[in-house]
Amino acid sequence: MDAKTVQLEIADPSLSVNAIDHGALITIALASLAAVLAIASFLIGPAHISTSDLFGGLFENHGTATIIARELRLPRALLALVVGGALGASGAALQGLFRNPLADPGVTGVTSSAGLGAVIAMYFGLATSFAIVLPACAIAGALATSTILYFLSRSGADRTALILAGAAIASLATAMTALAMSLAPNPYAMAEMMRWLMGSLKDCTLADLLLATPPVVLGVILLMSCARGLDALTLGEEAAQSLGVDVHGIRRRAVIGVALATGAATAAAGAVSFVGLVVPHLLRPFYAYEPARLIFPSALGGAALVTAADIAVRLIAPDGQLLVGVMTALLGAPFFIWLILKMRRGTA
Amino acid sequence: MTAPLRISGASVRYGARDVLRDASVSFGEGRVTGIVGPNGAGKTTLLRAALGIVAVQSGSVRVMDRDLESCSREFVARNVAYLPQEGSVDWPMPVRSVVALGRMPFGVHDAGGDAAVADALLRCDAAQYASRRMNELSAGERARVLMARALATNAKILLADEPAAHLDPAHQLRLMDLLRGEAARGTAVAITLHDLSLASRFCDDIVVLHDGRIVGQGAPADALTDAALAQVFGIAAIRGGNEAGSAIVPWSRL
Repeated sequence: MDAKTVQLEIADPSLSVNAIDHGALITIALASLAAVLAIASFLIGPAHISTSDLFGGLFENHGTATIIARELRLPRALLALVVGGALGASGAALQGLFRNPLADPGVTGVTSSAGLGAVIAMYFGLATSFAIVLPACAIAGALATSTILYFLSRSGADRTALILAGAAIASLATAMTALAMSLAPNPYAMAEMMRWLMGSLKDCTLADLLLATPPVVLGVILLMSCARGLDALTLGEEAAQSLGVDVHGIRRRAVIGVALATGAATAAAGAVSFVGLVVPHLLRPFYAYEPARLIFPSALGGAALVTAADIAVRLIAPDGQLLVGVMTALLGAPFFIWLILKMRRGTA
Repeated sequence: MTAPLRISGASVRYGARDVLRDASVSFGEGRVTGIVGPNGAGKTTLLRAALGIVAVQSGSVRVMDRDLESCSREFVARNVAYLPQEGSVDWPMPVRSVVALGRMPFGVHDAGGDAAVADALLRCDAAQYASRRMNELSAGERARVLMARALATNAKILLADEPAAHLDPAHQLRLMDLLRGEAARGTAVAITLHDLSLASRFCDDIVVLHDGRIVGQGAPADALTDAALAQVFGIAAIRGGNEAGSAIVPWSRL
């Protein structure tokens, strides 16, 4: 079998009789990939510690190795999974909800708004008394933007208008983030700005992980509960309603789910972009283009992608100066343009 | 005549505008009802009200002899299938998956689902491209798939908004034959139409809407009179036809 045949088969797997088996296999493969990458991520870092010391340090006290394994490497590896999962699932849900392959928490400004919420909470002292205020403010920021998008789409804004509105919201939120950080009574604020705007998993702690995980899990569960409704929405709102789907309820759940997942992920890692755009798009053909089947695999794919990007930044720049969001943007921005060209040709 | 769907004295207001005023109509079992009227007359609103997608401000809608407001979403979805105008599918989903969406009201443990999907594809003459994707089909083929999606529910009532629009003449005739076939199975079929010849030839009952009011109702010959065409559409028509039915060709504006 030559390379071309192989590629054709991969490009159109759902046409085969075993489409469902393909999907299940891909899901298992994605889960395994994410797990392997997470282990690799755990093993990579500036401190040279042997694999056995790191694993040993997780379970018993090995001094420095334990501190690094438990306080730095493990939270970072797991947080990459959580952040990627949140963004992947949010992207898949937004694309299904807005029936738009360009929708993604980053492109639509949800991530930047979450970042703005987090920055306000952090640099104006709101988060010092209660740690939970940080993700709460980020979720509030994300919710504000996803609600605006929801009303825009309800009032009949087409695909392009929605994405342009999202781009405007993203620019505004980014500018306000910069403004907030310039005004913040914190000498390190400017230095940390890039981290919020681009996203980074460096210096993430166990506390970050514990704060981010519950809202992300809750958000992804909410998104998965919308799945069947998103399938019906592919026929349009009225047809979905006629099939017994509570369209407004689905939209509300999706908007809240995206805000919870993206908000909490952004509060922990800053605005990591394009994950929710790239992952669902690449996986869609393997799941017969059905939005419902795409949400969970997109979470796994997002987890794998962010983890891989976080490994790459540490391999490329071991001094920790390269941010994970830079990697995803380098990958995602050209992809976004390619997707627009593809849509113009009517093949997306 | 038993009527699975009855609308009595229904009024619908969008903001300050009355789009449906005191409309009373029944869609009879085994009959094809054609809803005609100028653009903006309230045809789509009448279908939406029948489905409960828009709420009626006054009057009532009864589905299978139950008040629509007291019916669960699932009950309405199982009994009333709806094919909106300008139907489209956003993703290049396989045809079979699209048609299977018509089984959604029956939940995930839908024993008769696969058979109903296969049967709907056959009835719409779409079985041969069940494994193809929506984006690989022509407009006529897509319309048939979307109709199959509506038929897969096997609802007692089928509502379709302008199903003949954008179809070539052969496909229009095929569609009307299909709808007659559905009526022959006992389904109450109601469609909105702009083509008066299709309405007159293939429908058992005609409902004429004008400015939100039902201004004429009955057999095509009684409802689509010259006087009605003049009053409602402001047109004069040429009539023709044979024993199979009559044709009404809009000819001049009055």
